[in-house]
Amino acid sequence: MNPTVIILFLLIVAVTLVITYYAAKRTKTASDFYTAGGGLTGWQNGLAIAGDYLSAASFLGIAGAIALHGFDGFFFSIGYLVAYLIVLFIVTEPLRNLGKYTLADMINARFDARKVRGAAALSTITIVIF
Amino acid sequence: MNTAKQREFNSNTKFEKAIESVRFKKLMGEKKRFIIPLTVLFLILYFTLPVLTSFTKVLHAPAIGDITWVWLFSFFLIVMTWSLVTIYIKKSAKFDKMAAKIIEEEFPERAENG
Repeated sequence: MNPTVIILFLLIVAVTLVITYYAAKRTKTASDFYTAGGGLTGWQNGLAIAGDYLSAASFLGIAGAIALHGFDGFFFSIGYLVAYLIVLFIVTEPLRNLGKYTLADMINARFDARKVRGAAALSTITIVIF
Repeated sequence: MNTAKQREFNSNTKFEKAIESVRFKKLMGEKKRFIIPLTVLFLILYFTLPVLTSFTKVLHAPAIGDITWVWLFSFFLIVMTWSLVTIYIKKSAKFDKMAAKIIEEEFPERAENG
């Protein structure tokens, strides 16, 4: 194990913890925690999502998949791009107006049957496992 | 902006009366006429990609030099996604204005700042 790698790793963890400590002192409600109190502009939010995709999803995942399988690797990226369209057209506005943060919360708020909530929870757990 | 005051208004107001108004029904009709055809369109366009690549060999033919048709089709899907996003953003600004007008009418005691 390279000592440089370990030191860099611990440094990044320490910086992240410091940022988390200062951020945690400022969040007070669930809305603050999930959506920064609704105070992020579209550009800021978009840049955050782009950062996530540029670092992990596209750069590591898709580049690696294309290197291994050619076009079959590129196929995935079309899928998750069009999936964003589905979220934008169907889910975004009603969910934001409802004031809830996840689809399971939304089902919980609109329907009162316990079985519906159980089914929503089960599907969330299934997605998390895979 | 989903400020705390707005969230309080959203959760404390009885919107049932506003739902019955003619303008709200018109707004919902226009929204449905905009969203549903576009959703069906892009879903059909997107699903032709896996269907064509899994069951036929139509897209294997080279189009420009060595580049096969499937790469051009994927690029077209990416362009389609970006243009649909821009269209949605421009159209939903109009819908937001209509909704703000409805709230102004139905709940005049609440000063709305758009």
